[in-house]
Amino acid sequence: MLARNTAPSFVLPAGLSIIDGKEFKLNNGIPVHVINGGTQDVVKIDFIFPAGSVQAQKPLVASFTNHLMQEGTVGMTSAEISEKIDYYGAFLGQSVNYHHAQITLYALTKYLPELLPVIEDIIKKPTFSKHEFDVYLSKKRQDFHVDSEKVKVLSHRESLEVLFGEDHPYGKVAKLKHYDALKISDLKEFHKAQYSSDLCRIIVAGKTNSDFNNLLNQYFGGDDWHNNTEDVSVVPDVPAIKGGLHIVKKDNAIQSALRIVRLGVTKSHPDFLPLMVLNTLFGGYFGSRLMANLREEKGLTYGISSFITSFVKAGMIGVSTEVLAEKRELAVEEVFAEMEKLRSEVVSDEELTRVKNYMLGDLMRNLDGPFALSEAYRGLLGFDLTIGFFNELEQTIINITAEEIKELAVKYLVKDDFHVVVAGK
Amino acid sequence: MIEIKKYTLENGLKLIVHQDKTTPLAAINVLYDVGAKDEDEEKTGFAHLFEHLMFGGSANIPSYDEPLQKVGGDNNAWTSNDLTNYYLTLPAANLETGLWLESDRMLELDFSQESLDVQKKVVIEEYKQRYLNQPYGDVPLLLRPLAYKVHPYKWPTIGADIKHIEEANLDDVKQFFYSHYAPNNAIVSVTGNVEPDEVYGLVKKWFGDIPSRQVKKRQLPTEPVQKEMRIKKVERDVPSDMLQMTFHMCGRRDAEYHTLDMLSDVLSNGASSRLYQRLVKGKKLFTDLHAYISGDIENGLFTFAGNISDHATIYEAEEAIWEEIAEIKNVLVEEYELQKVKNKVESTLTFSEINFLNKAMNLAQFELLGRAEDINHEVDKYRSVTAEDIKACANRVLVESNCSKLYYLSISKKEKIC
Repeated sequence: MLARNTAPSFVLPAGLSIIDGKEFKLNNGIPVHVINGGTQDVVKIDFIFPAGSVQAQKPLVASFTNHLMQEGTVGMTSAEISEKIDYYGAFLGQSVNYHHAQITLYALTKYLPELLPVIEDIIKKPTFSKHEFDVYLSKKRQDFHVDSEKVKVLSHRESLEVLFGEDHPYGKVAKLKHYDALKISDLKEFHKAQYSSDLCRIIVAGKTNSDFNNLLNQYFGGDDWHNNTEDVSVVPDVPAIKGGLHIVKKDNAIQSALRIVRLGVTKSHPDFLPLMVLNTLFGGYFGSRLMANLREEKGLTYGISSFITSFVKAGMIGVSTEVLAEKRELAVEEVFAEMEKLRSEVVSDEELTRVKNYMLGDLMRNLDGPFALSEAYRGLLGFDLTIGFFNELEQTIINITAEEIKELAVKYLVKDDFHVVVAGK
Repeated sequence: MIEIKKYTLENGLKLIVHQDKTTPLAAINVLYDVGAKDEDEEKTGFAHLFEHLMFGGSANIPSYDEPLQKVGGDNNAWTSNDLTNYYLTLPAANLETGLWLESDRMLELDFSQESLDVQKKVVIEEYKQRYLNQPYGDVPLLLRPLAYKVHPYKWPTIGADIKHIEEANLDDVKQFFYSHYAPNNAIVSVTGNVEPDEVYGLVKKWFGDIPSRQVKKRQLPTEPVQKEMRIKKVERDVPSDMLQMTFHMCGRRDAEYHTLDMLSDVLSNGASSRLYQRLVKGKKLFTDLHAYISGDIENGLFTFAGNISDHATIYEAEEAIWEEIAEIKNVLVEEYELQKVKNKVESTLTFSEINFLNKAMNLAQFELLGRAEDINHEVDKYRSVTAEDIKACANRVLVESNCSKLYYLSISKKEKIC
């Protein structure tokens, strides 16, 4: 007979196998980090610049610049660029955050000789034509209106404003007036200042071939695109504002979106890694305290999660969910009750083991394969950290004790420090 | 090329194994051949509600998630109109834990009233979060019953009405389980750092003694051929107008499927595609516009969906779509453009084969369609599509009498104009 009520034996996931990255420099000094590996002949190349919203200072400038670079260059129209990218089965990705902006190329390795010159043009010679600007502006303005109907978005925007203050680069949220005020000249100047070889970094992941370094040098290694700028991004200290209740009213909302947030620490802070364990236990996975209580026991929500986020100069700890509008107060009470439990009771061995093992497995998932690894590596930029950060995380997960978790909860899960932001009713 | 080994157990369970030594992990995907199309019209949303209940504990194991988390695993599931799919990933050395968990819930669920009561509430909140509390969220609730009159694709997976979820009882749950959840109605695929024959041994060990069950025979009503255009107009508190136009098309197993997929690619795959270049960038009638196929196993839908620019009317925007349709019906797609969409398909397929979990899901679905091995012939099927095929398909499918359209109008835009 099979002993179906007894779990099979298992082994602890141990020893991270992180593919060794290689560093080299292009002739003009651009650092390139290469993560070779994978099963398919594909490659992902990130071209990263300090061209985020912090450097741009005004909302929208960074994201518009980044997007419109691919919409026409001195040598190619927007349509010609799209034709080339599509014809060779490639994908272009862009993203902008507070401190960085990037252009990402996903391609079959064999087509890099055809595709890299297109990327070169996009990065070095965008024209920012009025037509393309207008098309994109009207799309983004419409998106803004649609997003403003979503309680989740409303609560997110408000949470950044109350936490960092509307004048702080981390708290500056785009408003309708910013769309009206945006000028093409802003984008041109920003591109000129921030997208230069002095500031560029490249991350390559996937299967490259022997000619790859030469190709990269041919299109990006020259002296034709430097401007001697340094990355000066000034981020003032964040004044601690006492927590409170903030309601963004939306009368026709059926559910209310909740964000309960406080300032946290950055990835460079010694508490960051231990806080990742506390966060997982609290609301960071399906078996978390918040999910067990608000979803699996009370059925108040489809999902609830907690998060810790680190920007370069400040961090954030928070909880996010959408709940039945009439049960919003109960939900807030329960979130704080779960914090109080973590502050007053040590977690059981059984639960701690589960969280630890889940996190070790998750770490393997997050570092599995060259693409995932390159994302993980990119997340460390700006922090003066190496990929060894993840080995440290592994050790933290293995060694942290229930008592240490309780101490962290006492230190950070302080009710009065949290802002409760509600969008809806 | 994805190398696989296939096995069938005596109770009818099918197993597909693919070894990928580049990962330290493994994935288990369990596909049940039951979806929203198998629901009673008065009890819609049940397949999806049931998916939630599959995490509420099984006959011998009180919690599904906890033992899996304890060995470093993670999991989730999804339900479509055609099927219900459960998947997990874990360190490859702990594969057996995953098989133990999946086999016990295939054997028998712990049918608990408490779990049912809570999951009903959770699903109702999901319904609100996704469909009622989002701008344009109710589009699928409006469009499906317009396009389908008798076929069960007329209701979305979440269900036609919240009431159906509220009224679900434990007897329904039990009946659903025993008529659909069975080894002879399931496909297990395992991928990652595993040895195929060892996997087979473990699957036999844990799934081998689960009895075959009498699976409810599928008898879906045939959707009558649509004779005239259907139009629905709604006004909502949204910032701008949206247009949706759907056309009936063939199912996933039909010979024309790949042709129609390529037709949608010519129109709308990538920034260089016709609809984007001409109607979004050129005429600026839409801020966003896509054409896509539903990918359903039974006869599905070919859809155009677009957000109308603030300065354009929905009617002139629609007219421009009909002009594009007329062109592709009358003029052969040129060799260059055809090659472009074929290249894109090939690269998309290549990228989809990077991740071991993706491969597990895809293999199970190809097996459901016919043979898992066909995954390796997919690219050839696209390659062999000709410009003539595309033109012929467009002429058959993209005709007015086959169209159902939804004008989803913004109240505030109307006020601005008036």
